[in-house]
Amino acid sequence: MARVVYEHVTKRYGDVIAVNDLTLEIEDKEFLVLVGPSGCGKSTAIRLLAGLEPMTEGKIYIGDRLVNDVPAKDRDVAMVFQSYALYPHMSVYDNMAFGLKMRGTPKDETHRRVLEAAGALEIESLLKRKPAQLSGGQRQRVALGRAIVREPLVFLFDEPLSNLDAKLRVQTRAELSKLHQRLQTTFIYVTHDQVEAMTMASRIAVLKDGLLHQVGTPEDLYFRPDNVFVASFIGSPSMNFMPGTLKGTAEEITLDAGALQIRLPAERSRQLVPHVDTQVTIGIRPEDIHDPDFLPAHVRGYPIRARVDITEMMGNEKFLHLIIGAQPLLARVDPRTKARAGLEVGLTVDIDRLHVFDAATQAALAKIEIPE
Amino acid sequence: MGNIGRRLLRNIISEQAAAVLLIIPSLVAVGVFVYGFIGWSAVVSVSEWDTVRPDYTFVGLDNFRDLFHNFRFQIDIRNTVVFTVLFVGSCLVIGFVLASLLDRHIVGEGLFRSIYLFPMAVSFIVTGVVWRWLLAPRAGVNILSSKIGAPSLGYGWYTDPSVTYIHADSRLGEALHTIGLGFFADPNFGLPLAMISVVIAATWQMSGFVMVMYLAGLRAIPEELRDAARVDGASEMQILRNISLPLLRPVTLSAIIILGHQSLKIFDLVISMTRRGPGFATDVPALFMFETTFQGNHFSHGAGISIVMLVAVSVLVIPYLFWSLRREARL
Amino acid sequence: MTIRWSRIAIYAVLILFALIYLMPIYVLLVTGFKSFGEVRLDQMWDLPSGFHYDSFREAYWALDSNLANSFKMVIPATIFSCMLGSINGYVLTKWRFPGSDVLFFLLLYGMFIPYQSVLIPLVKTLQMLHVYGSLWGLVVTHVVYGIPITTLIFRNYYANIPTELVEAAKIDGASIFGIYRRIVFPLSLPGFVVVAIWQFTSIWNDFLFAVTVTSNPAIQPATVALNNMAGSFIVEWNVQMAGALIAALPTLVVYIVLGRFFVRGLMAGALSSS
Repeated sequence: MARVVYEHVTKRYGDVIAVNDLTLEIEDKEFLVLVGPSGCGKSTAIRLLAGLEPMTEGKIYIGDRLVNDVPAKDRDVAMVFQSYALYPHMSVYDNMAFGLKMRGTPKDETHRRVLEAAGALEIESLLKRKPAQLSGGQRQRVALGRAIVREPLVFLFDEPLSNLDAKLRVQTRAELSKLHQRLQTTFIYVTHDQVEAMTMASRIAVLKDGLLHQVGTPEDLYFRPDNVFVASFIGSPSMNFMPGTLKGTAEEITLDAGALQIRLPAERSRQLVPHVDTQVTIGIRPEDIHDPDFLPAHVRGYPIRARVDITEMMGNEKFLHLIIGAQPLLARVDPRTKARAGLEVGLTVDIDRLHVFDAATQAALAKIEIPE
Repeated sequence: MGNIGRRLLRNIISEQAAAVLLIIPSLVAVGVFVYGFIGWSAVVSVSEWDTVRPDYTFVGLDNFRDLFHNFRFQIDIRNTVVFTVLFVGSCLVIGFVLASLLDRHIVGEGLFRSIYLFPMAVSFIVTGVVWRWLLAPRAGVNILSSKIGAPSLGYGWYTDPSVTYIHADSRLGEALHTIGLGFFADPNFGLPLAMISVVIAATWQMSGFVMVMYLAGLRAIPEELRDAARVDGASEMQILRNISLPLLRPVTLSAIIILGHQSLKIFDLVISMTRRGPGFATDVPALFMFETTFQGNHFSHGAGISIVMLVAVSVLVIPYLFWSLRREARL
Repeated sequence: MTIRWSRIAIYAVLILFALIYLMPIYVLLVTGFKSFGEVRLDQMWDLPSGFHYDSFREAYWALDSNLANSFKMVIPATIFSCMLGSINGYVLTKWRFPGSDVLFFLLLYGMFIPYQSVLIPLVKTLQMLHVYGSLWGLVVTHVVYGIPITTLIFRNYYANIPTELVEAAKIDGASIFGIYRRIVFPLSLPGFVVVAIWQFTSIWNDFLFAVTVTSNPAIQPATVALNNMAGSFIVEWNVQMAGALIAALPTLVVYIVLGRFFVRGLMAGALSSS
């Protein structure tokens, strides 16, 4: 069993709190991604797990074992570092064999495991070379190989794709997902890139300033963000936000955003009744604003009017930079749209995909349903 | 070539000419005072100049033959080897130990570093004078132990004429004899105990330098490498042995060359601390050269010694310079 | 709690070594400040009863002209050394010409040679130039043999000045020396400090050249005078110690005040990539 549990883990550096009371349970064989902007504590969190830094408070369990006082070398985790951290004076083979050698693994066993991992990663031809003679992508594979060979309880990844070029990154993402399937071991992966998180994770944990904001599946986070930060962080281009107030009655709630007024259908009105007259932040994703001429079948729309500031042709879609009153909005619409810069156009907002957040607490007030 | 081309070429040539002109004085000076003089010394070393009046009669390699048969010179060679091995060895070990200790977020690191390094700021003469008294048999370190209630040490330090060597009738001596290296079991290949005092003084002076070099080397190793090793399962000791030390090889090499070439020509320290010592126990080629040339007026012999010293240093230094400059070019 | 113990052990070792390194200074100071009556070999480690200056007075009286000689020699030598090193370093880094690397190699070799191998010709040459036995002879000697190390330090320093600066000046029409005067020299201050400190220390501490080139005790620098004093049977050992301290003082003061730059010179001399 290799589930990982963080229990009220805090890490302080003097006055700075890097990780703030983190409680998180990671299931065995999960692919959990820790995501957040720089400085949110995600790297610190896995370094605490690896034993590279001591905790200020809290407990960490690997499997069922409390590892607070266990030194890094005995925790049986493997880590892939952002800059790979390959030992420059050793060959690829020795790099991969190093961990096994330090634990006294017999030579033939080591040899077998290294060759197996090298084969799986297609780096057998590189075994005699030194890291300086390898390309970035090759080095990354060696770093992976070094981790795989250890057959650890948990794999840790600290932004391993940041040093790769875009094309290699896409390719490696897929390979990492496949690797995870094959190895059937817990992966804990740190990145600042929400695309990596969304594409690879079984669950995502969003952190900011040392605090855990939400943990859930990619669908959870995309459709049902707990607060404004998660809503803005997940999804690219990010969600549009407008300030407004809730007006109306149980029968019909209106989102009053000044120049924009949206009446909500019955079920959602009922959800929001307790919060009438509250200041809210309304969220709508660019992909949920449609050109009415090209409205997808399932969408329940609400008409709005806006002026188009500029358009950007993306090929498979068009970005419309809109202004309503003084409020800017971004919409992603069908590329055949007739909207042009300077025109006033009519658009349809997917009423089932509107998000409402309390302006003061930033928390979600009523969540939408995840589509089948 | 058009006008512009010609002007450009002239500019380039005049630039380069100006560059050469600016450094010509230095080049000439070094050319004469280093290379010219070395040649001159070489000429003297194969001459018959034995008195105050120069005499450049060519005598081939006679002087060198005499030198290597000279009892004092043979001892000098032995002493130099012993001194070099002990001095370089202790500096490397102490320098490395201090550097690896200091590399651990030590409060007052700057102060410790300054203390270990300050002997380098002082002349070898000062060092020699002080340590002569610190290691004097009836004073200094010998009586220090009595301060803490223990009996005084009775070491002779640099007054001790004895030489430890492998005796021919010992087990090791006989083993050497069977593989044809029996001549090693001789005082000529032994360790003059008095030399240890000089080693102590010299190590005191120079180990700070090695420490600084190792500290810089250790700091150049990215912490991520050590983190990776920790996660891989290595203890701190294993990290030191398998990661840090191998990566410090260039530093070790530089230290060996720099200390080594200094120990081959050591003079100031010996002349102020022990001079030639009992039975030439602390005599060194540089001292021999100085006495024989400026006090005995045997210029040709002195030049001979200096050429031998030069060759020894060159064997050490020239490959190192090649290696070092090529490394720089590659970086 | 095992972690705490290893920290304590580390500090213990460091402090122990620090005491060993400071031991000679302790003895020097303690001996120097003792009155003549208190000075006894078997009481070497005892603290003096107060601050007595007898030893220092005697030592200073014996050494004062030699100290002056040292200063008179070291200061011009250092200045000329620095200037030459700077120009050479500048030319070798910013104005590459065919063979400049070979020249640099040949220059560096001069740094490592045992000076015994040039002593005899040096003496003869200085005699020919009529500067043998004078402080100027020593100055010339130190300036010439200091060229390799000063050039090396400046070369490493100038390698860090972007070549674009020089190229921009070239395009603006400046001559090779003009660029030096207007751009490179003003940026050289840290380099000069490092080289000056290094040369000051090396030249002040030198013995071999000093004892070879000067023979008259009135002209000799402090290191030679100290050695003579230490070798004599007349001078009391406490005066020798006081003399050693006085002779070491200038370079020690430089080290204490400007130690940072001293280390930089050290590292450059070690040819390790900075």
